Order: sequence, then structure tokens, then C-alpha cells
Amino acid sequence: MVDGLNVRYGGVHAVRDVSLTARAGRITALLGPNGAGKSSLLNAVMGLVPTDGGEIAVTVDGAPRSLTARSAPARARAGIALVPEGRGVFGTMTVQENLEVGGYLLHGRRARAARAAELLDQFPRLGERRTHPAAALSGGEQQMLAIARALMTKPRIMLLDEPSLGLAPVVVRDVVEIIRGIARDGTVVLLVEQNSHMALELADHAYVLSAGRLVYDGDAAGLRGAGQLADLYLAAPGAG
Amino acid sequence: MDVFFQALWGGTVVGVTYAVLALGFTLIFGVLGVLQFSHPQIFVAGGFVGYAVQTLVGGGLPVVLPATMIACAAIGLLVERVAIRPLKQSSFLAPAIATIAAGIAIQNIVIVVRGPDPVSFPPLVPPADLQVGGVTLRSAEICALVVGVLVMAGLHLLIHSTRFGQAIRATADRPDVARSFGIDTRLVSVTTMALASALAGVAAVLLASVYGTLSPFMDTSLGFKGLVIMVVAGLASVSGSMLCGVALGVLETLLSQYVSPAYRDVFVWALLLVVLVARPTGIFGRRVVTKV
Repeated sequence: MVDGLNVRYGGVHAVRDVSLTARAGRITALLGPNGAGKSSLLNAVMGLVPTDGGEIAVTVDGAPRSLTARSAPARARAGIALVPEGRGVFGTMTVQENLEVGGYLLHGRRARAARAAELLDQFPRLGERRTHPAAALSGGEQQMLAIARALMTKPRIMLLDEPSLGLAPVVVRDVVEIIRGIARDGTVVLLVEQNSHMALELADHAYVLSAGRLVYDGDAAGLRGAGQLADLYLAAPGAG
Repeated sequence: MDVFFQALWGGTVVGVTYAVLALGFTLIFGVLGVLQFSHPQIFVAGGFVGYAVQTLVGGGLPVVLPATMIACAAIGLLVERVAIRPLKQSSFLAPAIATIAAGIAIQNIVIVVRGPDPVSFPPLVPPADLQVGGVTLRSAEICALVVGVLVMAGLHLLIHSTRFGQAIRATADRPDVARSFGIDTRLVSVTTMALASALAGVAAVLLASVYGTLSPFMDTSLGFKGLVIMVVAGLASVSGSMLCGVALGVLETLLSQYVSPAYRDVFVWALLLVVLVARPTGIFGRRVVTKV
């Protein structure tokens, strides 16, 4: 899906020659310390930051389709959805309106309303707060909203950027269950996390990124042992 | 009491046109993130387009208003293309300063074409007076009030009840997230620019027909009023701009009536100072969080 990707900001080379593949129905975790380039990679896949070399492609029914030259809206049409870091809800808009924007690409007001109603059923907490502005929701509710909003178009590929950030452990457990459900429905889930404990519990496959380079590519189970992840972080090439 | 109500009526009419003008500022700032300093000169150009259409072609408001709106939208698109888009990435100040330059250019083109002197603006609706109690309502004033309110109501509906309005608000709030859901934020920006500039044209035609006169130098005082309304209402608050625009027109007129016309602009600045000290984010503003 992602091959030899590079992202640069000014003089910073945030992502260096990273290749990774995420598959349908499985949860792929991308781990790494703060500043490793995880969010940059996710935003590059969404098309929100320009890439400097590398390929991004989606394979549907065995036919690969390159998205490298496509804009973010075009990638959304190709079935990619993002749950951004810090949730990124539209604070002045209501829960309902946030969902409707998530379904911007659905055809017709009725289709958007119907899909929003489905998701409000699925997330009853959001249903209760349908007419509240998103800024008035708690952190956990905002995270649910960000996830529900990304589910509006039933995306093929779901990118989640630190969905556990700043949430209480009880709420993190809810988020974990939701992400599992999304993967079970046959969606490609690419999960970026600093909370490696949560991510490794969830993921089938894991990549570890450090200082912009991949330092691990393998089974998530292989990282569950004590200390293994810390060793990877410390052994990072060219760290700092 | 009649003097009071007469001033109240006049102030409301003028205030509605201020609000329509300020809405353009607010929309552009909210969606494009740019202070569009040539907005008042687009207003002036719009006024002269309306003047030219009425004197050369005629047809009154039904012809002059759409023609002016189209012309102003076109000027706005040009400003966006030339002064804003190429500089958007560089810094916050660069596009704002480029729009000042664009404003000077627009104003000078008006002066080259029509000269620096004020012109008397022809009536766009048949002149007539309506007496209500002791208050005289002129047809131009009634027309300005009705059109201004309709335009604001239409804009409110567009922003709050349509898919495109949601795209505008999402873009204003978080452009990146909006893009990730398939919203073409560049198209939203360009359309907003055209729409906001057309509003400057509406304000120009309405205000010029109420005053019965038009000067290429109306931009300065009106431009600052537009900015003051936007800041006092709270940056990017659309309904706030509507309310504050009307309030400013009313207060300004009452003050001219009962204190002295000379203090009219002093009052505007005093209001700005008081609000900035008491509520730096504006009366209807949301809390501004500076991101590091």
C-alpha cells in the first residue's frame, strides 16, 4: 500500500523510505516514540501533506490503483477516511452536522441523514447529544464522534491517529472494541499509537517507526514481551 | 419622539447595509483566513458599476443589483487569484498587505474612469415617501432594508441549512479535516470570495441609493467600520456581524442626532476600544486558542 515513502518539512526529513502494507479485516499498528514520523506518514497517506518520492496505492479486488498524485478529496473518494490526531471535530458544528460533513461524499441529503441515524444508533452516547456543538462534548465523546464521522462513507481504509490520546482507561476500552468491530467488518485499519500497550493488544501486524525509519516489521505478538519495544526505540538509527 | 424614531429608522437602514458589507469581511476571514483589505474598494467599484449600469442602461434595482453583484464577484475572484492565492503559503501578513495594494489599484481605476468627484446616484426605485406616525420612510430606504434583510436571511440559510454551507463552515473550522472528507477547500474558498465580494456590491448599491450620492473615497470610513464590526462581533461570527452592523448604524445615527455628527467616528473607535479591552474575542466570538 505504501512504498518507499518520504515526507519532508522544510529541513526536516520526517519519513524516510518507509514501505508498509495494511490488509483488509486486519488491524495494522504503526508504533514509535514521539516525533518518529507516525502522524506525518498517516497524513501523507490521506494526502494532507506532500510526499517527496514514494508510492501510495490501494488494491481493490486484486487491481492496484495508485493514489500518489491524487489530492486528499480524491483519496477520500477512493475510500480512505482519517480519524485525525486530537480528534479534529468541527467544534462549532453540532454532532449531527459533524456526521453530515463526514458523509459529504454521499449522494443526497436523505442518504446522509439515514447513515447518520444508523451511526447515532450505534453510538447511543452521541445520539443523546445529537444537537450539541461538538466543542461541548467530553474527550471520549469527541473521539467517538471523530470515529463515527469517519465511518459515514463506510470507508475501505480507516486511518486512526492516536485514538487513545488523553482518554480515561475505561473509555480507551470502548475505543478498542469499536476499532475491533471496524476491522471485523472487513475494513483496512491502520492505527497510529503511542499507547503501545493498547495497540499491540489490538493489532495483528505491527510496524515500528523511529526517527522516520522503519525499525520493525512483523507480527504484533512479537513485540508484546517486556522491554522489546523499548529496546527498539533505543536502538533507533540516527535517533535525535 | 418623532426625531428619535426618524433617527432610529435611518440608522437601522444604514446599519443593515453595514452588516451586509461586514459579512463579506467576516466570511473571507473565516474561510480564507485573510484580512481582505480591498473589500471596501470592491464596495466602491460596485457602487460605480451600479451607477454606470443605471445611467447607461437603466432598469432600476432588478437590473442594477445583479449586474453589480456579478461585477463585484469577478473583481473579488481577481483579487483572490492575484493577491491572495500566490501568497497564502508565505505568511499571514503577506496576502493582507497585497490586498491593500489591490484596493489602491481598484480605487484608482475607478478614479481614472470616472474622476475623483462624488456623483449623484440615480434612484433605483421610484421615489416615494411613506408616512408612519411622524416618521418618513423613503422608498429607497424601505427597499434597502428589505433587500438587505433578504440577502442576510438567504446567506444565513445557505450557511446553516445546505451541504455547501456545511462545507464552508467545515473549511473555516479545520481545512485539513474538511479536505479529508472530500471537500474541495480551494473551490470553497474561491466561491466564498465571489459570494462575499458580491455582498460588497449589494451593500454599495443599497447605501448609495439611500444616500443618493457616491464617492470614490467612501472606502476609508466604511472599510474601518466593516473591520470594527467584524472585530466587535467576534472574528468569523456571521450572525454576530449582522447584529453588530445594525447596532452600529443605529447607535451612530442616534449619536449624530443627539450629540454631534462630528463625533460619529469617534464613537466607532471608542466602541472598538471598549470591546477589545473587555472582550478581546468579540461579543459573539469563540475563545481563540493560540496554537504553538
